[in-house]
Amino acid sequence: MKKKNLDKMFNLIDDDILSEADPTKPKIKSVSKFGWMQIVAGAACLILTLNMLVFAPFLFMNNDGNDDTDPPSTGVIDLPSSDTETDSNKPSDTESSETTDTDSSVPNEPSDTDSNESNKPNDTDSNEPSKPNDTDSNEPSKPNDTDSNVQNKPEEPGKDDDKVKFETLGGITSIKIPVPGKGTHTVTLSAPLTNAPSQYKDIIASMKDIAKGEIFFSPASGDLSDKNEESMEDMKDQIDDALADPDLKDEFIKEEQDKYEETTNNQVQGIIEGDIIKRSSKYVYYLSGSTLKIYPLNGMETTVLTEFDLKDYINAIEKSLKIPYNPPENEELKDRIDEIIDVAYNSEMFLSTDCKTITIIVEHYINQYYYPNNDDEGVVDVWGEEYIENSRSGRYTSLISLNVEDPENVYLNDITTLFGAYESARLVNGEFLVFTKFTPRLGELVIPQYRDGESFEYIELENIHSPEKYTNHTYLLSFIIDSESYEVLSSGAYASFDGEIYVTGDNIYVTREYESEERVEEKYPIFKDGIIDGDPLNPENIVGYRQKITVIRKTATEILRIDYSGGSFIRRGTVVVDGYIKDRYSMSENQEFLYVVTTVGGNSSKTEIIYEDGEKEGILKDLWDTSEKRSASIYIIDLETMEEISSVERFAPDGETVRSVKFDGYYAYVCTAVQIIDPVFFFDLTNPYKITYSDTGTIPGFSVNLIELPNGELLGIGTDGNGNVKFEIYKKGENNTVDIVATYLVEATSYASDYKAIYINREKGLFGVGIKNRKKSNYDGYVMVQYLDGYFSLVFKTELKGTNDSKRVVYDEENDLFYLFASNDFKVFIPTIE
Amino acid sequence: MDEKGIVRLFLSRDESALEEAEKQYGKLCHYIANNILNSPLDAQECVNDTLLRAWNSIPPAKPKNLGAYLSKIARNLAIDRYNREKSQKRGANTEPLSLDELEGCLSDNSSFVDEAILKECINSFLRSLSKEKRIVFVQRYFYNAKICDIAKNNNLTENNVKVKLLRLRKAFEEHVKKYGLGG
Repeated sequence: MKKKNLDKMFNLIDDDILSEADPTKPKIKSVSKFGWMQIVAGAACLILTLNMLVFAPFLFMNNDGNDDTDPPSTGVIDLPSSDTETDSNKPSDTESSETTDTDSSVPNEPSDTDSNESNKPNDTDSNEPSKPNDTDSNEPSKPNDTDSNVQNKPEEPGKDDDKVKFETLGGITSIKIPVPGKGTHTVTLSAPLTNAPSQYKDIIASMKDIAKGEIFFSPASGDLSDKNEESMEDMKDQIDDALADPDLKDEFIKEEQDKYEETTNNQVQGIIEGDIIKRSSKYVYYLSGSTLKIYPLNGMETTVLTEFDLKDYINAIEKSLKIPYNPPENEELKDRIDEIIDVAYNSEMFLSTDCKTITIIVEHYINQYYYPNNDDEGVVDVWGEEYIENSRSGRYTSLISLNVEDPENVYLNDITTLFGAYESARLVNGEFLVFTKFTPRLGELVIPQYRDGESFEYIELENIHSPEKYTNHTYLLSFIIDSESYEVLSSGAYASFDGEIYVTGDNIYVTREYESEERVEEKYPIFKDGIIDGDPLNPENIVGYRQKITVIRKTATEILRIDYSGGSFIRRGTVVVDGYIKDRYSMSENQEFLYVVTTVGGNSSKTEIIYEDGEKEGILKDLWDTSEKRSASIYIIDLETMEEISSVERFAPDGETVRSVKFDGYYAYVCTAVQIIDPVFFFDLTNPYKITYSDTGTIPGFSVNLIELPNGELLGIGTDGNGNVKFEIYKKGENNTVDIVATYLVEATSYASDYKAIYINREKGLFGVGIKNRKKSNYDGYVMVQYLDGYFSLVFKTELKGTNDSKRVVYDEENDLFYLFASNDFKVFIPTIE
Repeated sequence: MDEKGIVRLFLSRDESALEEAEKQYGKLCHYIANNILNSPLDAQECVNDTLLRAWNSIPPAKPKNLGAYLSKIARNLAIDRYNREKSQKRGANTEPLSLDELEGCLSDNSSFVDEAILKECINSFLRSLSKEKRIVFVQRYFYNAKICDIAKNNNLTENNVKVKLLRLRKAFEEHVKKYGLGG
């Protein structure tokens, strides 16, 4: 019976819902750069075709209403400030196509196949566009109608027929342009009219084409005027006036939609990371500590529009978390205790794809300061002191959701608070993945929690990973949070995994580094009378035994794989590799494998010799021997079994450590260095059981960031070891080498090392980084270079105050200007050509 | 020809209605039937039966949304055929319908339930969802679409679709309880 009820239930779904979900309807996909080119080309062809079909028989210009048959003017009519490039014809908003795409012309009325007499009330969807009068003779024109879409007969002149009019029917905008004495011509736009310049260009372009085309001025049309040029100008003025009309604007002209633009250097495509800067097509959002700054992009006129300080919200959160302080029993200590709520400077934010919501992730805590005898001197930071009893202190991470739909009136949507210090976050498929680190203090609660409404919920024990041996007392906490409701959907905790976090589409890899101890015991006999090589099988010769114990301490890294693809955290196993991982970029998941690069070596060992009776004869090595040199290794792990299947160990010269790693599918680039020499290695991991590699040999300096370029080249940003920032291009050579293609140096003593702080524009070959130079009066600035066709050139170097890792750039390609943001600065910069 | 025009042809008993309806909605009906029957030939027969059923029911029916009307007919016919074949084969070699995933949401004890309640239940649930989630849910459980097709249609990954459906099933289970239909 329940199956029948289900069947029946789904038969009763409202018709408009069914139509909305029709899987056979073509969907508007997000358009790539090349997709836009196709749309532009298509739109241009459509406009030209429409013009040829519709306007050919008619005269466009005749101001005095006479039936003139003067011969056509020759030549092109030059209209000012109009650009007939194809991209001027492109639709300004992909959403505009959707209004023609949905089958929304019929109000829904459920029709039940079992009952032929359903006459249920209309259930019109309020989002449906207004419908025209549906008579056969006045069908509204649609771009996807293969028949002639545009009215090809001039309407009879009537009242107000000498004004340009805009008409939107069924989501299609038509512009009715009066031709005095001839009626009205209609230009149907392929997208709703906006006030964007490109739309205006659309109209002008079509008018210009009409003016140019012979078919329009064909003598056969018979309706030509010698006042064409003046009439075209007049028409242009009318359209200008119409576009400027504020009443028209509300009714017919849509504001150009604000569109999300990705600006963060995400490690994995599709896995959005938080950052201190986010942007849409109209605004830039910059986070400075706990203050959100919103800038509308207005070229040189750009200034901050809104500064929204989160401090009050954070204070409120902290106060709601705090257990009231009870003074200790010791009277002497009953003096001033100041509590200062602080915000850590690792806040990040996310912008929703509809550009209406900013989610800021903030770490906050209370610092308590004790002033004995109320004396300002002798202040003691009492963090962790046990005599501050019953006071709650600890680090929390809050997700604060702000509505930014109207950037001038930003307001709070929601707040969710989690235990632990903020580590990092991702936005994946409409859900936040947030990671914090929680270190319980002695005597404090050990099981981590998150806030659910007014109360706190414990992370369930089954979701807490406890390794066999704890190597530190920190938990890594993970949370899945719905990006609309801010509800915590899943949580997990991983004891001792306080290392790196690498997130892919299905998996999270977390690491912990520890020293492993390996003990090797060897026992060998002592022979009588000084016999050295006695027969160990002849007990008469043996007077005792020696034991040689060697203890080797090695750095090892354990990697835990967590599968979150099902919406919860499922631990899939761990693997241990030698050495330590520099950062999350040292790991890469590819198909069924995980690639890992580590710095190995530097191990220490100690050896003791002990007599059988326990007396130490002596110690061969009484100090830990740390002479083993460092190097680098690469491992391939099978994800199914979480076992190592192949490796290349110690591939770097002795003493070198890993400085940067970049994976690109089946290939890996690794930069290692000691101090100022830097080989770059190229690995081919196509055959996971046979890794091959080549390198550049030693070159000056090293790179801390490697960026793959479209043509197979690699950009390294680092230092040359001589006080310069180095931009260097590498390419795999023919003879199994890695060759240097180009190098560019900029004098600087420090530069941004955070991958997110590097400006990367592969399409234009633009790369930028914040720099400081203590040798030159503490210069604080930003440098932008361009790499094209094998050569570097300087685009600009300008002052910009703030920490290097806080510096960000937004590039306005159309106007060739740069918006530069930093923790203490903002400027709009146009590079000058030298 | 637009929808209203085709309905007018049905009402005026003009046989070109069938041709027009097939041209406009044949692909959709075939899609629905094929997803259930996994046989293009059987699906085509189903489409033909759908048009015939529409011809016999319009008039007196006068659907305002012909596409939805035909979709429901096609779906019902396909499910009937599927159930027939399943019982003949004693369940062997038949893939389960996606709607089976929701069976656990309803109570075993639910007997005859008023249609109005069923209608309100399903539509209030669907309208409480965001557009994307609603489309995913309807494509899966009404149109019986495969996960990979839903992912492709909506620019999502398959994993994302699976996770969404998992959460939606849970939400649906909670929702039907409010109407006394839950387990």
